[in-house]
Amino acid sequence: MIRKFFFGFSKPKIRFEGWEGGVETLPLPERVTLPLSQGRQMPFKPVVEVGERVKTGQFIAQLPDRTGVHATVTGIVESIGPGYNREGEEILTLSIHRDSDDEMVPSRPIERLEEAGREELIGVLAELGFASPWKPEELKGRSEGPSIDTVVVLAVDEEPPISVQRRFLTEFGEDLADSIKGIRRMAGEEARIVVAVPEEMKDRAEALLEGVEVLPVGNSPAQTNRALLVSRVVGERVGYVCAPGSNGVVVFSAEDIAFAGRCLRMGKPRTNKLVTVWGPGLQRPKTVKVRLGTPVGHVLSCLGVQVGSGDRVIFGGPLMGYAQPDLDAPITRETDGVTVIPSNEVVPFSDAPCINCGRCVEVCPVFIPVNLVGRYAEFGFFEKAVSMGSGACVECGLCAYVCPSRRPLVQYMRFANKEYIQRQEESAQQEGE
Amino acid sequence: MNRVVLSVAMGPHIHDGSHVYRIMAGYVAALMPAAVWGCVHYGMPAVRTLLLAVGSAVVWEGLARRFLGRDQTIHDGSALVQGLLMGMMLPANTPWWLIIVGTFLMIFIGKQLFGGIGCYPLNPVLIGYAILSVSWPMRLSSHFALVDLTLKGPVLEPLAALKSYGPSVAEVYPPLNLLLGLQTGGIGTGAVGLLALGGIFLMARGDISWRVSLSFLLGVAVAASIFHVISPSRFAGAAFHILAGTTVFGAFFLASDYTTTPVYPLPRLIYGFGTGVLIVLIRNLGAYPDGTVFGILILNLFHPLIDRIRPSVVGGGVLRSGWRGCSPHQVRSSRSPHM
Ligand code: SF4
Ligand code: SF4
Repeated sequence: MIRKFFFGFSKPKIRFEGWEGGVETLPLPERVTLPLSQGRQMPFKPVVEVGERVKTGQFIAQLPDRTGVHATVTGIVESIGPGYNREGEEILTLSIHRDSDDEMVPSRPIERLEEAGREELIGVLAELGFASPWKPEELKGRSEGPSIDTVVVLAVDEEPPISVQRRFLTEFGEDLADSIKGIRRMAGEEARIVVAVPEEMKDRAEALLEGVEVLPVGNSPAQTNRALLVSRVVGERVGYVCAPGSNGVVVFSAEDIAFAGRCLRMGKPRTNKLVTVWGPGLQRPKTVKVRLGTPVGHVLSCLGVQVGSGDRVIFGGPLMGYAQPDLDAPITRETDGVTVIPSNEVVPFSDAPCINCGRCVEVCPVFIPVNLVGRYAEFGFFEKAVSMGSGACVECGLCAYVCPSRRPLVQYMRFANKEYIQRQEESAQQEGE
Repeated sequence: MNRVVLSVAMGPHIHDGSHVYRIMAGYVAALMPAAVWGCVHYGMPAVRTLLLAVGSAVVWEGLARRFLGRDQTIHDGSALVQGLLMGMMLPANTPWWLIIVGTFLMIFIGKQLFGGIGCYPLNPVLIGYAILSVSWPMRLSSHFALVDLTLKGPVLEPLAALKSYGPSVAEVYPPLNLLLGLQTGGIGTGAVGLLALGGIFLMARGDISWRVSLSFLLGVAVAASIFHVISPSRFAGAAFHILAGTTVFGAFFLASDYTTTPVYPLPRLIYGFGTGVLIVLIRNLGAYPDGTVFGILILNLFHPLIDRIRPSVVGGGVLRSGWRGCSPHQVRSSRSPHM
């Protein structure tokens, strides 16, 4: 998995068996589960009830700003209740039991899309379920923060073997080009639009996209890390900015905006997601098109990937992905990849001491002295750990990937940061009393 | 459908397969040619010394961990390698009790007192050896210790000869002979050519840092050349200093010990170069014929200091207030609400 040059120069490069061209559409799942809240945001309000029959594309839940969630199959609403997102946080979900083939709600394509004004675009997008960071005039007063001056479009994949975003430069290039024109109309002429592309596709991207900056990015996971990429574009570290647009920067994935553009033209809400699947039983990583909310077990069984007890099913790539507790976990808009690691290939972490070999330090893209910070966190010196820079960690996972002592270094970083914040808050409270 | 129970854990979910014992296995493999050569050169006494050193080091490690109530660490192989290193530095006819005392000092005082692998401030092999050589100097130097061995080649250690008779002795030790290992000294430190091959093997595997080892040799070469140019009649040249004594052994196997070596590129160069220079200073100006042991020990002391020369963390690594448990994974998915 790792390529080492002579004299121990080791930058991890993860090799895999090439991209597979073409995207296969998988059969419809029996059931879909749709998240009704996203992270910290206010939950959507369901507008349907349990037992009601919904059609594909029907509006099922709503936010105050008119955006919402749409059904992705036709069937009976089975339950509305708590579920989990990919990070394991509890959220509200809605599941639909499919009872027939797709019955579509009538689509309402916009005529003369090219001439549609900014307001109209934003409005129709919202109706189709795409909450754009640009608010129509009537809502403008309510949104906080500076106006958006930089739009970052990520057409690179977070880590191998995922090949989803890059396909929007090749197979679905037209969609992306179209949508970027739409973004230009909404963002205004002065806004900076930066498209990050894999370096080998630079020429193609420049030919395809007009009026944008093209940023070539290497293939190593350290370079494709989202937080680092955005920092690179903006020129300053943006690590801990949560609310999109709150610092004038919005980040889109190429897939999201390409789908938005296509849906806008066809007047249908988005129901699909591209996912790269990689696991035992597959010759090469395979990219497939599934309905949003499809349980991961359905995807894996359609492709013939065997999963047994004790294996890890990961949303995302093997370095940064999130292991899922069961095969019902649904594919969401954030799920670019599904990686299955058989239990016999899982390398357990150990609590062995750091031998100070420095390999972690060599690979850390943000130059954290991981060897020291790891030890500080291990022995509870959180202040020290943070003062040495643990707060800059982007959780790329490279340090733990190369550590010969197999220390859980990413966990140590998180642990130190979390404990530090908690203690800061506690002492602030005490002072207040 | 029967229920599949998946395992849940935080990433990364894969590993490059490296392990401490693999590094240690690399050391053993790299040391083997020179050790075997030493056994051929000195005969059965050398075999006895090496086995006793390795065996007692491993036993001491096991006892120390048990005595201190910590998890067992024999399986990581570090005690084995340290025992081997210690054995290779000793003369072939070292008394058995001296070997056992040496490995005891190495493991208990040099290593486990500080917490074992990864925690010791000074290279334990050198601690053990230094205590022995200060306490029983005659036992560890050639004059006395090698009396009862039959040897091919000059009987005197090249560096001791240099100290006593000046650089003219270099003629008695042609570089090729030194390279082939026809010199008296520790069991495994003489076969310079084989040690260098082992070192290159380790560097190619990435198990030791080339920055440390090569800058070490460079330091020796530069310092020795300067002395030689200033006064050729008093000081030997660079080739002699590199090939004689424990220089190459030290460069590849002692100075490169991870725990006592800086981790950043520039500090590694400084550390290696500094050690090399210091060794020549001790040899040329100090009382000891071979300065490798004390040279490395002194630079070990400075390694945390040298390691402070490091790149600053991107963005200063400051946790801003308002971080509030928002971790990078949210940045990673910080797309506009759900476009
Ligand atoms: S410390 Fe954080 S940023 Fe650095 S390599 Fe480890 S996971 Fe990546
Ligand atoms: S890679 Fe592991 S053993 Fe090596 S310095 Fe980093 S934390 Fe320590």
